[in-house]
Amino acid sequence: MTPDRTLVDSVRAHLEAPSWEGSAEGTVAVVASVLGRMDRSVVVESTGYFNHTFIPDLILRWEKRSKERRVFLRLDAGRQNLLSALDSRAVDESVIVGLEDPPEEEWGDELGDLAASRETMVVDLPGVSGLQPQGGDFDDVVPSSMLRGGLGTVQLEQASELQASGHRFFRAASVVDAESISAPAQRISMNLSAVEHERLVGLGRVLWQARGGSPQDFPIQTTLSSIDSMGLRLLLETSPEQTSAFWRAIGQSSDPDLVYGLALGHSSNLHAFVNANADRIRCKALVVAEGELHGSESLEWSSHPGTIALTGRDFVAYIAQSVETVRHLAREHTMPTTRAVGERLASRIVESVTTETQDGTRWMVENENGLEEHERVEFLDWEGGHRGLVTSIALRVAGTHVDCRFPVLESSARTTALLPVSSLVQAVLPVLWHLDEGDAHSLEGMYQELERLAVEERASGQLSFD
Amino acid sequence: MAKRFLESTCRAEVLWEQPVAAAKLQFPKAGASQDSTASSDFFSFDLGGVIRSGPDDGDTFLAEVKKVNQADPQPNQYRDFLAQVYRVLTLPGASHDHFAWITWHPFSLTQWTSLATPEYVIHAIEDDEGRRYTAVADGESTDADVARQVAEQVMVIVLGDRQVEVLTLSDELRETVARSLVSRRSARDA
Repeated sequence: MTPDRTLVDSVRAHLEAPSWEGSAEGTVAVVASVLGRMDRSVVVESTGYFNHTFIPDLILRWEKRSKERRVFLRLDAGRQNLLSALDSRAVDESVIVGLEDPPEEEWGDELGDLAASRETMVVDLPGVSGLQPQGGDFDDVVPSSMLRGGLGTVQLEQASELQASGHRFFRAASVVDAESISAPAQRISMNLSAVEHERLVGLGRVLWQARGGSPQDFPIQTTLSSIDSMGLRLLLETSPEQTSAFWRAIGQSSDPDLVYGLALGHSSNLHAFVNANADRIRCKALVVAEGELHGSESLEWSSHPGTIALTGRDFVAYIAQSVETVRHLAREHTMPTTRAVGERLASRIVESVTTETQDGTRWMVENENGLEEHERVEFLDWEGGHRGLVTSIALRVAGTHVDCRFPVLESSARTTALLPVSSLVQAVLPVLWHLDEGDAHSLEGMYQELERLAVEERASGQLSFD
Repeated sequence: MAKRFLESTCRAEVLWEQPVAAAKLQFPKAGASQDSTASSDFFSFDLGGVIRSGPDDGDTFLAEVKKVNQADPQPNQYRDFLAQVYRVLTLPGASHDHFAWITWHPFSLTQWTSLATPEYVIHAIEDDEGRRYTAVADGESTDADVARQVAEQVMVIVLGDRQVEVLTLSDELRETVARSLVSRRSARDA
């Protein structure tokens, strides 16, 4: 690998700046920035200290991980100084970044062994550059794992080996090549904590199975029973374009509800994942708000903190596992007429309908077993809409009571129990919002694809993740 | 080890050390021409940093470290150090507050109590042509006020390995102190 001098040169420029304070802050900021690029879910916090013996320069934190990791920058990255730092135990379970380039002395095996025994990663600037994601398939995984649990010494040569091993490992997993998996995994394990190595191998196993490999044939034993939030994020963020069957299999290998915690925004993988697992992701609330008009031909899924959203041509439907999460997203909305709602309800099971006239008079019809056709028609068409505008409708969806409301400031549905997203969207979205022909067609296509995947899945036992 | 000792006091942060930050710790001698690049026209300190907390909070320091097991040749080196401190205090734009001589062996014991007096500083500079070249420009004489400043701002610290090992913060205390200092600084910066 050709050494990338950008980081080395940038750090050197900051170190050579005349101002003591500016020089230290600039150096820390540059290193924080490159470390942050190794793992998109890490938060890198500066402590305000620089090159201190026992107070870290940076602290790495992850939202879904209680364990943090300290980063010590070292101006003196000579072997003796680093051995002495590791001996003192002040830097256990941390990352030490040597700013000296090149280090005055060869680091050697003794330093690597001691660092590994302290669960500490000692890395120089070319090593940090060498661990940066290269933008290829799954290239984020090794850098992110190293930031969380890298250990031993990592200079450019080791960084190149680790990246190449990661590439070979995931390539072998994705083409279900058992013979090529173990060697790169073994190489990575030399510089990675057992926990992080297990996670990485588990991700490879998920990929293996998603590509049709049998769990029994995966050549490395893993204890992970399913893919975790981190793994799902990594897959969604780093996987090249995949078939819907692939994402269906990933959904089966994980808890699809993890998607609520990802907040990935708009991404084609996220869209494909939700589309392929909409009958597995569960929800309790749906709020529709007017969206910006756009010319996209198809509906698009995105994810935001605590919610997933379906964007149509003129609306956004926010879906969550609690009403509180999405309530604030509701916008002003006009209540529909009884005639409009009558057309939207089609063959749905309606438990009740409530309307309100301009003078505040409320009308309601209900039948806990579902309104008979003649009851609905009679109520909604009565006197040409003189019962006013619809304020709420109660539906029965997959045996669950769903309360749909149309107040001026809210257009939402809430359920008494968790329902599959596909069920709620299919039953409720067209009632809460008038879908234009394009969106209705797109929604129909989504359900047909989901049905096809479910049928294929039932027919193919090998996609299951045991 | 000097850095470890200083930072264990929780009052000193050693930001800069040789050789990586050499430029920040290096100064031109007074007798050198402005455009000289000859290494003999410059001198440098081993460490540089900042004092934290207390009335000296934010003060900067420079330190010379002698990890030695005998007195010689410290007497001469210490007098060189005094000339260098004198120079730094008269150099426009170089603003430093404390200068530490950190040694592992005492020296000049018969003069121990005079080592940081204005008279000793003047004598050290005037007594030697090389030190004059370091401290004062050609044709100038030493300034008594600056010599007094040097004497006030210099400190001599004698350390021993066992002292650093046993009487500095233990690993356990370091962890506690580090957490406390980081959260204090975060709260202050918030």
